[in-house]
Amino acid sequence: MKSSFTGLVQRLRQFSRSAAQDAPTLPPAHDAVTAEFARPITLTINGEVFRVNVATGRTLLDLLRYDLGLTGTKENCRMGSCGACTVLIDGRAIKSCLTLTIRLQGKHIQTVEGLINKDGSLDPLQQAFVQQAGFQCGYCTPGFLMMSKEILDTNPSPSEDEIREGLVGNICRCTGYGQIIEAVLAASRIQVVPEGKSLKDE
Amino acid sequence: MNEIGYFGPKSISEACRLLAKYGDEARAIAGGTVLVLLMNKRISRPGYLIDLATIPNLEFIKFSDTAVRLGALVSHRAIEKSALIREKYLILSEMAHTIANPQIRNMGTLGGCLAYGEAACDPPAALISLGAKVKIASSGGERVLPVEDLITGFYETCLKQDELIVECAIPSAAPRTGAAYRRYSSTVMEDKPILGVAARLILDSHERCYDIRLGLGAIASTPIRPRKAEELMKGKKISDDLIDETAERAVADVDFIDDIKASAEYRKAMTIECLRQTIREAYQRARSSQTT
Repeated sequence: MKSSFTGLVQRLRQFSRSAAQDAPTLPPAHDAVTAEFARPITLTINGEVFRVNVATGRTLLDLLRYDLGLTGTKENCRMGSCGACTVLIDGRAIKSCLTLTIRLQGKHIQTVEGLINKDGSLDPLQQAFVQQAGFQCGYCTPGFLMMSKEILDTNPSPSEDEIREGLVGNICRCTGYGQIIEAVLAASRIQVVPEGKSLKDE
Repeated sequence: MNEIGYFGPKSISEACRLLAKYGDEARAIAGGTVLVLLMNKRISRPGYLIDLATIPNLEFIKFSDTAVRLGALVSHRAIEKSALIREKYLILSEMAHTIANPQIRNMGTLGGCLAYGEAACDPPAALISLGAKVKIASSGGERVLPVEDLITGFYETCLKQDELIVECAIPSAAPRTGAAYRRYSSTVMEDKPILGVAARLILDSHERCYDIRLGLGAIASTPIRPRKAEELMKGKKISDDLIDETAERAVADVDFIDDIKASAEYRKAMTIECLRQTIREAYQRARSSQTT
């Protein structure tokens, strides 16, 4: 079991590396057929500054997945119900399927790819989700991770009820939510020392 | 979604001018939780978006001795999390907490919600019970309207093409005031309500009902203020029988929505029960509120 967990962690690290980290500039958004309606927007994603040309109707979800190759954030209902598209803008959890990129000048976006620490170690939430088996197919997981991050950032020691209430905007078909709640509770108990490394709170 | 014009006006008058200029093809966008959804599903195909988020000073919560003023772009989350709102207008704090889910509350705005005119939403009933008014701006000036006069039908408000809600003002509570809001959803917690009821009670020095305002939302094509039911309680000593009678009277003339979430009959029965509980809770809160 231990070796398969290690393999799982390695795969998580692999997928967390942004496909666009080495790309200095970007081609115009491919659906901006009429140039006059595509505008340049500068925004920061996971600490990196991007300058993009977007049409008015380009959602943040589509920008992340299809223009920037950051496919950690998932597309699903496109109506703000399922939460699979959840990312953080200036620290607040939002649904990227209902967010227009053109309105995000100067904003700081954090996606699931940005959770992993610079040294490659997992964020406490990611550690806890692995240890508590807080996912099965994993499709809803990035959304749950980002929403959980907002919950813990604003309320470091939430009760189970507070976690449940905080996650009403995220749907999971596989787990029945039990292990997800356990994972967020466990993450809240993992202490982080100032250097950014994590210790389990024994 | 390709050829949509975008404007980021820097003032309310500029926004109203743009709305007037582009008419039916223009849509004002606040939180975007509704409009972008409709655009995603190709139900709405605007020619131009007028971004209200670029207008300064529309996102505020300002307290004075006589009222609290909420800017139209204030998010449901800001209302939910405001410590002062929780202290002075607990009903608003509790109502805001029941809206949808945290992500939507981070994005959605009070003004956008009211301007949409959707029946199955939470703010109108609570605002009506508090005597809230909205300030509406247009190229021609401003007007003020009680919230109960704003929504005129399903997804219909009395706003003209170039008009924008700019703020909502709620008068401060008199001593011995208690207010409560309850909503009921027949499915999951974050789903839209099938009913939302609010009551604000003011007691006199003998703990009789000095004044009562009721708000019923999500049950009909518009939010309702059941004045005849309010008249039953005014000036009277409050008893369970009186509360029951008031709740029954409040629903008597309502044309209840009958849809897949709930039959009209079920909505009516649940509204009566929720209204009973809400009035009782408002009464308890009024009794325990400070009398200075």
